[in-house]
Amino acid sequence: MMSKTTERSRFSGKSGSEMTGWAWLALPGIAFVVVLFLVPLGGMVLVSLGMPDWTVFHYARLLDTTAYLSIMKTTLAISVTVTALAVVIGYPFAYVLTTSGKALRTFLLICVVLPYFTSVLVRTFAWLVLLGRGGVLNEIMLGLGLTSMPIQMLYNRFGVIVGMVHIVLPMIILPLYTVMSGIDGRLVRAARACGASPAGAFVSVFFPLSVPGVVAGVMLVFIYCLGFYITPALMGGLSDTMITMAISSQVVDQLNWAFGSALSVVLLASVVALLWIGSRFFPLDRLLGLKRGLSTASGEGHHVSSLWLTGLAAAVNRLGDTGPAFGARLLPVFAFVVGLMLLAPGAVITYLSFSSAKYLVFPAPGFSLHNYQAYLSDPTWLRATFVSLRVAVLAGLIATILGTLLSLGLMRGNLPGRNGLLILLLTPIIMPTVVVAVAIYFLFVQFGLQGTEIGLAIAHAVYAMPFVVVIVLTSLQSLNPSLEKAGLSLGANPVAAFRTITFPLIRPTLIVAGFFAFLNSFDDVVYALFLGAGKLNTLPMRMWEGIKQDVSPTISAVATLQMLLAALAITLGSLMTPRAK
Amino acid sequence: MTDRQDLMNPRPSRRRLLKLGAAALAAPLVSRAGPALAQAEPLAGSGEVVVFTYGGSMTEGLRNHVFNPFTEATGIEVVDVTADLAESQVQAMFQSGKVEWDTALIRAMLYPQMSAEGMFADIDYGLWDAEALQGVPEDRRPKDAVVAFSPATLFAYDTRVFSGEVPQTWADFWDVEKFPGPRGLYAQESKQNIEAALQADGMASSDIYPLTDDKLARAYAKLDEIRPHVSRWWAAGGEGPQLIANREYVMSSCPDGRAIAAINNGAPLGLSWKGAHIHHNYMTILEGGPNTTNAQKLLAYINRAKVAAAWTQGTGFASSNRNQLEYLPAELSAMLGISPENASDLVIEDSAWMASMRADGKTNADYLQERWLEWRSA
Repeated sequence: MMSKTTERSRFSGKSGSEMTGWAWLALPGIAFVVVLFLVPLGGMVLVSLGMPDWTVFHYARLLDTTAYLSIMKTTLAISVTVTALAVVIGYPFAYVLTTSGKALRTFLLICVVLPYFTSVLVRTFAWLVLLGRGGVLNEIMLGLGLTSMPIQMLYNRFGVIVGMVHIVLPMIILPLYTVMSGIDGRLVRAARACGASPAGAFVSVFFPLSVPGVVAGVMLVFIYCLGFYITPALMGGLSDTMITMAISSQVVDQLNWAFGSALSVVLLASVVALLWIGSRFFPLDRLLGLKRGLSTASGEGHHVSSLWLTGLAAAVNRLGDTGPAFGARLLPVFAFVVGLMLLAPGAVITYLSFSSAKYLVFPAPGFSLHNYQAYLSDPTWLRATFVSLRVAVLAGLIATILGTLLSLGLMRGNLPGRNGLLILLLTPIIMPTVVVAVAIYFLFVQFGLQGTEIGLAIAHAVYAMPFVVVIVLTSLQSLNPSLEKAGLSLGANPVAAFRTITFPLIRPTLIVAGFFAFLNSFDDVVYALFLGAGKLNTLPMRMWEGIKQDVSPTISAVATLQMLLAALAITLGSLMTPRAK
Repeated sequence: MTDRQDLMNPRPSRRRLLKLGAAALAAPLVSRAGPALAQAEPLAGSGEVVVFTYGGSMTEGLRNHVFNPFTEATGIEVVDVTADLAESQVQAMFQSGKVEWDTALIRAMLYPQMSAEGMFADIDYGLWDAEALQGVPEDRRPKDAVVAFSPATLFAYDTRVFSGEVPQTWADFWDVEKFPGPRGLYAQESKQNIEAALQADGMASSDIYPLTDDKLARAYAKLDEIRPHVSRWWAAGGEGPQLIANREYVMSSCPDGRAIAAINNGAPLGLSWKGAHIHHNYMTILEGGPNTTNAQKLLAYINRAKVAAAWTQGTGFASSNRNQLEYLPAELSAMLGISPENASDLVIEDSAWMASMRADGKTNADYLQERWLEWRSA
């Protein structure tokens, strides 16, 4: 008969040191990332070292100038600010998303996801309409007498932060949403029954259980921010220069791949070091809920933090019911207002899509459907739409299947070095996409995958895997293993137990993760441009051409149709999915 | 991920030609020239040629005005490949040994180093008509490339603000007393700004290159002067005209194609070509490409004066053959950089100097970019 420990570890891998059979599930995903990312990355490191004429010149020259250091500082400052704001806005928003009724939830989900569906240059024009010196907001404030002259909200740091927060919010809200949905409401009610105030119950029960979501979201947002380039260039001031811009310029405009690679390696090394140091103090695997043992070396720190939380909860409890409860009632209002703000640029774009003007101008001189006619009557637009859809569906499937297996393996396989593995899995989103695209190209050429839809989908899947893994992991940890255990004890085989018990429980998470992977692929230009080898023309590429060459207002119609489809998909999905609890 | 892209690289725009459509019809029917010559066509062949263009309306315009007539005339099919920029892809194909394209458009700044690495096949000028050899100036056709078109960066001003006395030179652009109001300059690269600053400081356009250290010091001192008056350092080519139309600027540097497109759409812009920046964009035949012979024929074909005029009409960016002027409608040629009046005072980027290596192991272009990053992030 099995000992109690191995019995337990079969389900959760929480204790005991030997690997379990679940570990095999991680293999395909890990192999995928190693072959498609680590191998090209290795090639890049060799290039940065001047292979075959070995040299450290490309690293040493970083010290010739203060430029790169100050760009790195700017990049960090912007990324930290945006991440912090995303948490502050995203947490209460996700809380409302979890606790609200179906109608509000659907509306809020739409608000979060739609910004993804607007091409960056049209979106920026929408911001100009809203925040420009003569923009809507300034007009309102002047009209109300709140200000005496227009406030400069664009072309400075403020503009960069607004533009970036708008785009990164889904990345923190969706992981938080999946984690919060998994929190057993009875625990909060139990705390209330034991005399905790609503706020006290929140601080002592709900919040600690949602921490994995916060950690996941913060990691994803922060890393994603490092790669921003166009939004800062379009909405920021002269000194809002981010590191990816410098790297991209080396790769594309100087053709100096050795130096571009060196810059990327330094960026990667700094971020990995940061994550590594961070994981010493805040163990990633524990925070993401991969491991919950209290008897390990850092158990003491954990104990201290729970004491601290208990103290805080007690203090909050003393505040009584009135103040915090009033605040809680305001939360849906807050989320609703944030949702409207997120939608505002999309609304401007929708309005412009019906404009009769031949270029983007606000207000519209008249109305017509000529932008829609231009889209629907042009076979190149339609062809590009179908290429994008096929690639994105394939990429979403690959990333979701491999990422989910990988997460299960990590969660239950008791693999050694999980912190390291997690950081490794995140590296594809740390590296600037333009560098990864070049590196993957050389691999693809060996197999004739360049310029094919499958090749592009595979590359997109590598990029989307970290998102899938982090989202699925955070949701798996909140799963109650005793349900599956019960199934097994009733005689189900492990596969059947997984299929009939665990899978239905994590299905909503898989949908969110798959949607993310789909979106990332559907929105990509950089990989498509390079790995497409000129032969593939995706929708974002077509939009990019349209906006660079013509300031074509057709893209406002394309963006509006995309938003409409996305909103329909979310609404349908929400109608079809029964409430989990 | 759309967030990560190169923004500048002024692109040809066909939109600006829409208004000129009627005039273009009055011009000789270039696209019908093909079949008439079919029997005697020395460039006749078979198979295909894989041709890189920038996609969108440029590719569409070339297909209608140049590539389809080429196929009719020669029997060679043109396969389009499109991307944002070609150079990095060409380098990757060359290094991996699998060259899948036959031709590519290469920016002047990168041409010298790529040529030196042997990425381009020599052009077979033996296939060219005598007229084409005479019409395309020799300095625009080195042994392994031909200038396809030459985008410019000039400055535009708001005609609602300046109607009597208008700003005409870079010195006027710098003169914030005489022509007050917020200005726009380019953020992502420095060469256009440096050239403008030096001319504002009184330097003749012909004295600008090579950009020695003392000239750079002068230029940056001048840029320090204008910096507080620049309300937005623009990044995308269309921003200059767009922000003038929205009254965020009174004047701004901008790509010629975007300014002309905006004017044709009714934007209130005046242009100054004086001291404008120009760089070449080369069409090259890739070494080791699949259909080199057909590519040679395509280049010989598109540099004929009549076809050159069709290229210009199809893309909005003037190709190299000077003889094309007789086939172009006057309204169109008056707006282009090849018109003698506009071409009288231009700064042509010295790409050989840009690509040459400094003592510290960096190219001049790389060094310029690094200094620019230092200045802008300060």
